[in-house]
Amino acid sequence: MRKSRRCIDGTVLREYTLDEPVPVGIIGFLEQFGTVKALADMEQPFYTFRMGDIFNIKGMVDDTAMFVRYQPASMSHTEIFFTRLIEGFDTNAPDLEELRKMHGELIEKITSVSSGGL
Amino acid sequence: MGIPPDQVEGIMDRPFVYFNNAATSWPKPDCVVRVVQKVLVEPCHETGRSTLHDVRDYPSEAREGIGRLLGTKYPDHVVFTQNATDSLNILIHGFVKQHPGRFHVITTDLEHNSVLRPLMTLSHEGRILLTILKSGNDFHVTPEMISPEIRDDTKLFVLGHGSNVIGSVQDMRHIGRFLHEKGIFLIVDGAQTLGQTQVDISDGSVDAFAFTGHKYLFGIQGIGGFYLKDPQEIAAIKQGGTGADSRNLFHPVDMPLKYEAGTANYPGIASLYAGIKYVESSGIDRIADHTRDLCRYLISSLQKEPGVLIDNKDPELPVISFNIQGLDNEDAGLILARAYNIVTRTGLHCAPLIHERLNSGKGSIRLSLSFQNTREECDAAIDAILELVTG
Repeated sequence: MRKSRRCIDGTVLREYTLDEPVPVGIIGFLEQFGTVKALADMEQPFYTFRMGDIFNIKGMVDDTAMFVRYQPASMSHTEIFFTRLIEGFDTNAPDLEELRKMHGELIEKITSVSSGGL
Repeated sequence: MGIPPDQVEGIMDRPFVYFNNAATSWPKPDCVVRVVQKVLVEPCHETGRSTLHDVRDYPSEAREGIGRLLGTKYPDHVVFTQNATDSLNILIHGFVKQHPGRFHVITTDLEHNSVLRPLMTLSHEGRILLTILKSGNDFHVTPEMISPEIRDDTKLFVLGHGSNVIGSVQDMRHIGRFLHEKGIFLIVDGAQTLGQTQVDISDGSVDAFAFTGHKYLFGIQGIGGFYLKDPQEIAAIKQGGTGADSRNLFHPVDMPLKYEAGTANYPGIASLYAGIKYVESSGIDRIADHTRDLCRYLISSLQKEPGVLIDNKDPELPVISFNIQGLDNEDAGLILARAYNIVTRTGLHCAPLIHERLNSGKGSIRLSLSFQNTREECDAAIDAILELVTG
C-alpha cells in the first residue's frame, strides 16, 4: 500500500494504491462501519463511504486506488483505523468484532478531540 | 547506481486523454523534451558563473522569445522566476514595498489565489485597502465598472488577463490606458494567456505582465517570469548572487538582475526557449483556432444533455467548466479518471470567488485543452461524460 497526499479545502486527501483491485464485496463490508453510496449500475461501480464527518473513502470496484479524506485534527487516529479496515478486508475472514471495537473507540476518541479532551 | 527501473513508476502503459492543460500542459512537444535532455546531459551556460564556452545562451534567447510574444523591444525587462505565482508575489509585494503608506488596491472576483492571497495578506497586515470588483454577467471587466471604485488613494490594479475557470479574456490594453489616465499601476496575471492567445503590450498600457512557462508555453514546471516596464515602481524583495558585479555588497539594480538572485533554473529556461519556438512555429492564431474549434465541439455535444450543466458556453480560452446533475464534481472527476482514463480537474481551481457566484462555491469539473489535443480525444470525453450522465 502506498500513498500520496494533497490538501484540499482544509482536509487531507490521501490516495492509496492497493496491491490488488478491490472486489465488489468492499461495498457490503464498508456498510458495517458507516454510510455507503454506490453507483452500482456502472460497469465498474463507484462507491463512497462516509463515517460521519470523521472521514470518507471513495473508489471504484476493480480498481487499486482508494481516495480517503481526513479531518486533519483526527487524522492520526482515523488513518490507523482505515489501514486496519482495509487489511481486515484483505483477509478472507476479517475479525469483525475487533474492527467494531476499534470503530467504537475511534468515535469515542474523535468526540473527545472535538470537545477538547485530547 | 540510480533508481532501479522497476521503481520508476509509469502510467504510460494505458492511454489516457489529458484535459488539464490550464494547470500544466501535457504532452510536451518533442523539441521541449529534447532540449531538456540536452541541458541535463551537457553542462549549462551560466552567465558570469563559469568559464565554460561555446554553449548556447538559453536565458538570453528565451528572454528575447518572451519579448517577441509580448511585443516588447526590451527583452532585458523580462525576468525569470519559478512560475506566475512567484512573479505575482514579487510584483505585488515589491510594489507595496516601493510605495510607503497605506493605499487602495483593486482586483476582481475572477482572480486566482496567486493574486488574491498576496493581496489578502497585505490587507490583513494593514498595508493596503482592497476592493474586489465583481465582474460583469459576461465575466468581463470594463473601465465603466472600475471607475466608481477608484479613490484618491488608489495606486494599483491587479487583473487576470484570462480566467482559468470561465475562459473570459479581459481587454487589458483598454483597461490599462484608462488606469494610466488615473495614475494607477496595472499588474496583469497572464498565466492563462501567453502562448495561447495573442498578447500585445507594445503600446505601454500594461505596467507588468506575469507569465508561467509550464502551461501554454509548453515548458516544464518551475519556470515562469514577468515583464516590467519601469523597475523604479517595484522594489526588489530578493538579494543574492548574480554572477556579476560581485565586489558590490548591494544587489544590482539593472535589469533583469534586479529581480534575479541565485542560480537560475537552466533546464526550465531551456524548456521555455523550446516551448516558445514551438508556439511561434505553430502560430498563435492557429493554436487559438484549433482549441476554440475543439471547445465548441465539446460544448455543442455536451449541452444537448440537460444533465450536463455548463458554466461557460462561449469561452475565449480553451476551458470548459461544468457539473453533472446529481453528482458531486469531485466524484465525477474521479470516475472520469479511473474508469475512462480522462484527466480533468475538479473543485475550485484555486479561484474561489468566482465559484461563489457560479454555484455557491461547490466548484466544477474543468476540461482544459491545448494545441496538442485532438477531436478523437474530445469524442472519448463526450462519450464518457454522456455515459456518466445517462447512467
